[in-house]
Amino acid sequence: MDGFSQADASLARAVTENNARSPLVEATTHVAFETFHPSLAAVYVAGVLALTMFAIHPIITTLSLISAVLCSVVCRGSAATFRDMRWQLPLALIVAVANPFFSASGSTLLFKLGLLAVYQESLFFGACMGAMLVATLMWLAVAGVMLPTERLLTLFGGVLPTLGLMISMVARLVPQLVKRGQEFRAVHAANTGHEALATTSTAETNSGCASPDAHADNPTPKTTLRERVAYGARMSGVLMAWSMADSLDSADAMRARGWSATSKRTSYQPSHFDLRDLIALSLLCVLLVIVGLLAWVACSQFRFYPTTSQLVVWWGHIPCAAYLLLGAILSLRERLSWM
Amino acid sequence: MDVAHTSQKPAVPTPQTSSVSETQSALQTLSASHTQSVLQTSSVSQAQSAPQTSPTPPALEFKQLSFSYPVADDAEQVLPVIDNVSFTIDQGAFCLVCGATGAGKSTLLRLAKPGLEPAGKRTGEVRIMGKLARDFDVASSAHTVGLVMQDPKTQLVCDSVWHELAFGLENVGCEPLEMRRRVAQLSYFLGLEPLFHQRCSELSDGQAQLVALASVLVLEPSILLLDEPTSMLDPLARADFAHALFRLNRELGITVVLATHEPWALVSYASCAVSIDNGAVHKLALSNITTPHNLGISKPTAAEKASKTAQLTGAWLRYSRESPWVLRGVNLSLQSGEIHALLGANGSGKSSVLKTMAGVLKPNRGICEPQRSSWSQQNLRHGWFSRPKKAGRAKGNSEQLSTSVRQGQSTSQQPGHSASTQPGQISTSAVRQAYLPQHPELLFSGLSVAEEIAASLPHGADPSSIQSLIERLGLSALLDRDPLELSRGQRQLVAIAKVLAAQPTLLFADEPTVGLDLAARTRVAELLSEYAQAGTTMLLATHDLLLARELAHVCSLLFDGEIACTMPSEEFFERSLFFREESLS
Repeated sequence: MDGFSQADASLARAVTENNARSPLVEATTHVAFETFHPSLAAVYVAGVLALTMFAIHPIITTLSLISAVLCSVVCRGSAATFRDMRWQLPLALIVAVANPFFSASGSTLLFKLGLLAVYQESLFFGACMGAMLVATLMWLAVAGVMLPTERLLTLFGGVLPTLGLMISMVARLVPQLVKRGQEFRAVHAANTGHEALATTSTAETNSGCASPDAHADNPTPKTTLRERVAYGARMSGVLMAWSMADSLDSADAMRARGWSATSKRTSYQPSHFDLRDLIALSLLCVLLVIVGLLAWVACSQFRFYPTTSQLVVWWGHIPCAAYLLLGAILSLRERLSWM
Repeated sequence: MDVAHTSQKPAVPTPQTSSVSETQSALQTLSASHTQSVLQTSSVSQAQSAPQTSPTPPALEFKQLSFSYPVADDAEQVLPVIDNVSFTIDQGAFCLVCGATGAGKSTLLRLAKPGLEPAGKRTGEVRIMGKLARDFDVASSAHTVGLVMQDPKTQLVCDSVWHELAFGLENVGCEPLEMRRRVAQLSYFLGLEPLFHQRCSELSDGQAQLVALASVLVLEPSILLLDEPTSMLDPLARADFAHALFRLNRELGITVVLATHEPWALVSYASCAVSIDNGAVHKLALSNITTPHNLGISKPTAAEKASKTAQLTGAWLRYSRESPWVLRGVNLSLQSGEIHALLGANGSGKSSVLKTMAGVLKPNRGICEPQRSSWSQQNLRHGWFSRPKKAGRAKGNSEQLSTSVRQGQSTSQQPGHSASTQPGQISTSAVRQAYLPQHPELLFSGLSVAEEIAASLPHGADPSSIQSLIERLGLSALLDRDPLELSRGQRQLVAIAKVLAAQPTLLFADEPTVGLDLAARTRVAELLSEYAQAGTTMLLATHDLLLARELAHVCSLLFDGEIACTMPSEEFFERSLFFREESLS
C-alpha cells in the first residue's frame, strides 16, 4: 500500500505544481483506458493485481514484473519508477534470502548454516515471492495513476451515492486537519510572548526557524513526557473544537442546498457508460477469463517443492503476457501517436 | 407562534374577504374544518389573489417580524434582535442589508431561508415569493432561496469542484442528464471551467467563494441571500465576486439580498438598501452610502534613534522539493518602533515573508534576523544537523528571555513600554515577539475568551492592564464564551487582543483587519498605533489600504516573490497608480 500512497502523493504534487505554474496549461501524462469509462481501468487493474498475487508461477510473475515496470515507466515516468525501485529491490532481496529461514524444504541442498539447511527450491520460491511483491507494489502505484481518486469515486458514486460523498468529504477533511496541526505548532512557537505554551515554545523559536516542509520533524523540544502529552491534548482539543465549529457551518451549507431532501440521492457522472465502453469491457473480460484459466492451468502443473518443475515454453503464456502488457502498450500508444 | 400572530392581525383577509377567487377558496374552505386550516387557506388564497393587485408577489416580504435569541431563564428582559420589522424586497432587486457587526443582518437573512432559521422566539411572518416561509420543505427551500455565507472554505463540503457543484442537485435527486446540463451551463456562465477538476482545498478564497455561489445557483433559486460574502476576500477577488453577482442579477434576473458592513463597495450594483440598527430596519437611500476616506487615526511618530530590530536578507523560500520558489531573494529590514506594511496581491508571498520573519518558516537560503540565536548560519544547512546544538542554546536563551521579560514588567505595565525604556537594547533576549496568523483559530488554546487573553499575559504583569484592551475591542460581553463559538470577526478581535496582551516588542500581523467592520477596523488601528507609539515594531501584511496609508511609516509592495519597492508610506501612495484615495475602500 505504501507504493500506492506514494504514487498518489507524487501525482497530487505534480498536479498542484502544474496548477501553480500555469493554471491554464495542464501538463498531464495520458494513460491507458483514459478515454473509457473508469470501470475498464478498474477491471484491468483488478485483473492484473489478482493475476500477480494469486498466480505464483515463475514465468507469469516475471512477465508481471516486467510489465509492471514498463507500465510504470510509461505512466509515471522513469524517475518515479526507479525512485521506488531503490527501496523495492532490496525488499525483494530480503524476502528471497529470508524464505529459506522460514521454510526449510526442498530437495537440492545448497549449504548448511548450523542447523539450518538452505535448499535451492526454497531460495527460488523466495525469489519468486520477492518478485511478486515488487510487481504488486508497482501495479498499485500504476493503479493510482490509472484510477485516481476522482475516477474511483465516480465508479462508487453511481452505485452508492452516499458512500461516494463520504469518501469525498473524508478526503478533504483529513489533510486539512493534519495541515492545521502543523500550523498550530508553528504559530504557537512563533509567539514567544505567550505564556500559554511558552515553556516549550520559546525554545523552539529561539532555536531558529522551523523548516517549511518539516514542522513535523521539528517538534517542540519538551522536557517531560507529561508536558508533551498536555501540549498534544490541548492542541488536539483546539483543532477538534475548530473543526466542530467549521462543521456547523458546513452542515448549514449542506442543508441550504437540500441535503436530506429525498431519500433517493442521485449521482453526478462525469463519464457515461456507452456502447464503446460495453464492447471494450466485454473484450477485456473475455481476455481476463481466458488468462485466468490459462494461469490456473499453468500453476496447477507447476511445483516449487520438493523439486522445482521444469519450465516449458507454452503458447498459454502469450495471452498472459498480452494481458499484462496491455496497460503499457495502450499508454505508450497515447505517447507514440504524437511522435 | 406564527399562527397565533396571524389570527390577530386585521391585515390578513379572512376566508370571507378572500372570496375574490371564489371557486378556489370555496374548494379550499370545504376542507377547512378547524381554525388552523382556515388560516392556511386564507394565506394561500391571499397569495393567489395577489396577482390581481400586483403582477408579481415581492421576492421577500417581512410582516411585523420580531425575533429574539433564547436566553437563560434568569435573564430579565431580552432585547429583540429584530423588532417588529415590516418591509418588502421586490423581485429582481439587488438589495444591500447594511449594519454593523452583530446588528442582526445574519439573523434577518436566515429568517428568510426556510430550514435555516435560527432558534429563538419569533413572531410575525415571512413570505417568500408570496408563500409563507414555514410552508417550504427542504427541497423547495433549496430551489427557491440560495444562501451563501461568509467563510468560503467551510461552505464547501466535497473534495473536488465538480462534486461541489453537483452536490445540491444530487441531494434533490436530479436526473443525471439534467444535472450535467445545469452544471455545464452554470460553469460556463461563471467561467468555472478551468477549476472544474481542481480540489476544493487548492482553491484560493476568491475562487472558493465563487464555487460556493455556483453550488447554490445550480438549484436555480429565484432569490439569492448572501451573508458578508466578500469580507474575507482580497480586493481583486471582491471585485470579481461582486461582478458575478451583478451579472446574475441583471442578466438572469435573480433577486440578490446581500448583507455587508461595507456597502459602499457594492453600491453601484445595488438597486436598493436597508439598514439594521437596534432591531429596526430602515430604508436607506443609495446616495447616502458613501465611501469612507480615512479611519481617522493619528500616525504614531517614528522613533528618533531607530535601530534595526528585524531583518530578512536574501531570503529564498519554497514549500517542497518540487514546488516553485515563493520568495526569491527578499530583503526587508524593520527599524525599531516602525510600522511596516506589506502590500501585494494574493499569492505574491506576503504571508510567506511574514512567516519567515516570525520564524514559522525557515528560508531555504538567506538569513533571518532578529538574531534569535546565533544559528542563522546554520539555517543555511538543513535544520537537522544542527539540532542537538540548538536545544542546548535554546534553554539558555529562553531563560535570558524570561528574566528580561520580568525586568521589563517590574518597571512598567504600559504596553510595549519595556522596549521604549531600554532604547538601543533590542537584542535577542529583549525581543518579545507575537505573530497573528491569517487564521485566528491557530492562536487559540483556552476554553474561554478571558482565559485565552489572560494566557498571553507576560509573567508578573498586572491582569488589569488587559482590561482596557478588552473593553476597547468590545469583548467585555464575550469573556465567558468559547472563542471558537464566536463569529469570524469576533474571533479576529480575540486573536488581536491575545497578541497585544502579550505586550510584544515585535509584532507580525497577517491581515489584522480582515472581516472587521469599519468601527472595529478603526479601533484595531488605534490600538496598533498606540502600541507602536510605545515602541512596538510591527510588520503588517494587509489588503487594507486605509490601514496601510494611515498607520504605516513604510510600505513595501511584494510582487513575484520579490520586494518591488519600499518607500515611506506618503510617497508610496502618492506615486502609486492604483492605491489612490478614490480606490480605497
